[in-house]
Amino acid sequence: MSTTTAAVRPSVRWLRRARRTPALVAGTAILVVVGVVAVLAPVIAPYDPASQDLGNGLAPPSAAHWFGTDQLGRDILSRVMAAAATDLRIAVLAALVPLVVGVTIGLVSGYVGGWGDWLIGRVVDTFVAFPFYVLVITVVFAAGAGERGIYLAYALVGWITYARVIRARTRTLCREGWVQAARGGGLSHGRVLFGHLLPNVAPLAVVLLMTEILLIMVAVVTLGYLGLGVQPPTPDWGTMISDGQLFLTTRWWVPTLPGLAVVLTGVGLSLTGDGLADVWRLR
Amino acid sequence: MRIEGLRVAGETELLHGVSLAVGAGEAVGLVGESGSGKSLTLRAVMGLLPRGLRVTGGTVEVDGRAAMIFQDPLTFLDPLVRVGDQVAEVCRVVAGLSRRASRVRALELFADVRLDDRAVLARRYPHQLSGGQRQRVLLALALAQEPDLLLCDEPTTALDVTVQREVLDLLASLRAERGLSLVFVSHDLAVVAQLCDRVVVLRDGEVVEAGATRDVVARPHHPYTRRLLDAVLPLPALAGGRDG
Amino acid sequence: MADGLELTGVSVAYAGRRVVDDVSLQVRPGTIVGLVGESGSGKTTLARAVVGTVGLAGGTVHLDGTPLARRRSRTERRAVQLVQQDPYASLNPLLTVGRVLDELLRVHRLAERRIASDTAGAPDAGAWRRARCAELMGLVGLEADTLGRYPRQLSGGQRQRVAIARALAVEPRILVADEPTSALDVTVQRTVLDVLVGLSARVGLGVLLISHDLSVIHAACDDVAVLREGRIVEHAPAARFFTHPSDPYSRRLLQAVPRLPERAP
Repeated sequence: MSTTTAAVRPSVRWLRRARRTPALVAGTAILVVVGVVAVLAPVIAPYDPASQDLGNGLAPPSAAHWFGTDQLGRDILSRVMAAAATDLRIAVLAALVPLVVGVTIGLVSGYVGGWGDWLIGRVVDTFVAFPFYVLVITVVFAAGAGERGIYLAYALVGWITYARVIRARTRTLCREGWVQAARGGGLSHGRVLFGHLLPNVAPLAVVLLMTEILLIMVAVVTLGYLGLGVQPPTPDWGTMISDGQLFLTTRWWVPTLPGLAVVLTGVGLSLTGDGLADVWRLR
Repeated sequence: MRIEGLRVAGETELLHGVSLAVGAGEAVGLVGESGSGKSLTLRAVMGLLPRGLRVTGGTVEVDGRAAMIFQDPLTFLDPLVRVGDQVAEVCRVVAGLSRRASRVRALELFADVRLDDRAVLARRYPHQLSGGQRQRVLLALALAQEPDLLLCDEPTTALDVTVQREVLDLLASLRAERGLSLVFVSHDLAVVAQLCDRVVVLRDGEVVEAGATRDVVARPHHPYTRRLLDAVLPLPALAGGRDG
Repeated sequence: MADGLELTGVSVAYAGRRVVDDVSLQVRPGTIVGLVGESGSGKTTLARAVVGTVGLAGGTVHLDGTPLARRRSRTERRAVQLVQQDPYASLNPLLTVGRVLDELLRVHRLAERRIASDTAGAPDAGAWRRARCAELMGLVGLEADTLGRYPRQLSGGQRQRVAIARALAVEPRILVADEPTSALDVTVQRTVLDVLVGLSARVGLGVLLISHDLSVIHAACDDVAVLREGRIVEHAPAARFFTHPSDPYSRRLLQAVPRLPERAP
């Protein structure tokens, strides 16, 4: 194929547009910082997050302990860093299965239409009718608190969002001439679905993924706060906030600083999602 | 109406000084391809520029009232209001008529635009009408504003040929009856030639040629006008004349 | 039955109403048949029936003497290709022109088939496909470097020619073009029509050209059929139709077309 044309590859144009989108730049910057801290936590944390110093409990922020210490004298900065690793790992891992399942179901149901689509639509409606947290907490209760319960809960309910949105998008795309032309040209259903439609809905799925990771992270923190999430002694922002709330009025930094970590990560994810949607012109 | 050196710009300039004059009772065609700025010129006159665009230079003078009709009437009709009521409402606002008088006036306007079965049609909603009927309702809506100048933005492009012919004939007779001035925007020189005494050819936001339709068609000066004329696919003459 | 496409008494019904009613029509290889009709005449439905995306309520569609089944095989779908009205929606925005054509050639193993039947110094499949893509561009009057472009880098007329090239890639017998010029600027219309005329003559393709625009039909077609409310009211050679239409409705249509006043030579 000729390479002499002035044709600009979409990836290049994409990068150019991305660099001019402040939300995306700020969002990814935050995520990169949080991610690096999470990965390098064991190396860069000033203290062992589990080591207790009962004589130095609830110390205010100082040169030795930038974020102060908790009721057991553990360094809060080190624990916030270690918790970043826990919570992000769970959020990302828990988001993967629903992504794959939801996108596949959405694509197939939007493409096939007919009674299969109708059936999936009713299943989705049923799930949507239940409040989200009620479903998650029920599954976690049944499967047992902790990481395993969270993964299971999300594998069961997380695909719904993708399936709904991707299905709607696929239906719209199927009405476009190029999908009909691909079929008319003799391409197989599988090729049209995964070779042509999937790349066109992928940006939408990635933007949803950002929102979902955010949602799962908040849910993990909430479950931790309720005592249903990550179990001690593994550090987790939710348990840290929950343990520290007793001291909110007198030792504000104990629950507030882990809370701010949640907010910062949340803002990073949401800015990235918004920025990607802008760059891909999804609205 | 007089337009003098009209400039419109968004991120880049789209109209580079368009000038155009329409005398009382005159019909002027504005011809060009997509992106020539022909619709933009009309919208600038009506103050209906799309968001992000503004007039950056030149003057527009309109003696009297101007009204406009569009290619796609459905976007300019309220889908939830009966078409008769929509026209009556404009009569009420513009002419200060009572509710009852405005209803009567709306039916008169429907007669003016040659809508058959007026009493029945007036009670219909826009989606229940055919394309030609909608365009007539839009025309009635424009006439309800008692305009001196009617701006037409490709009003027949979406219509079937036979309906297009009816709407063109209607516009011509309205012009004769009411002394309306017309500005008719179209990509189709043949359509413009049916209706307009003078024609202005636009290309990329600039006037490339203007003159009496007959002269421009017979002796085009600008190469672009010649290209537009060549693009009109000819049809052989119909045996037995073209009465009808 | 003869070569080409033959519709016999074709009817299509939606919700109990016959949108296409008892239509019979032939498209011979190397000829262009124009199908004229106003909105609601059923011309797009008829196009769908021909390419097999809607089922028939009655009648048969034959291709080269063989009846086409209700559910068409891949080969049968290949043989009758559609060019759609809107060139802006008919190309996948994420694929270059070359990728689209190349995929079709690969899926149908056209290179392998051609090379197998060709005894003299056969090139490899990849080279054959590249040459074929360039050849297809030539057939629709586009430069070979168009192959490296994405749809958004092309004008409406170029896109429509790419859509025609895509239809040609699978080596069809019949091309159904549904209002292929009505979304294009007037100065581009003629190029697209010229491409269709050239193809029917050079490749021996049978073309069913559907349009509401009589001058488009006149510029390209050998035969004209007028569709009104699902029925064919007149079917005549173009040479006779445009000057001596026999049906009053055809006559009304022809009279309604706006014409330019005489031009100086």
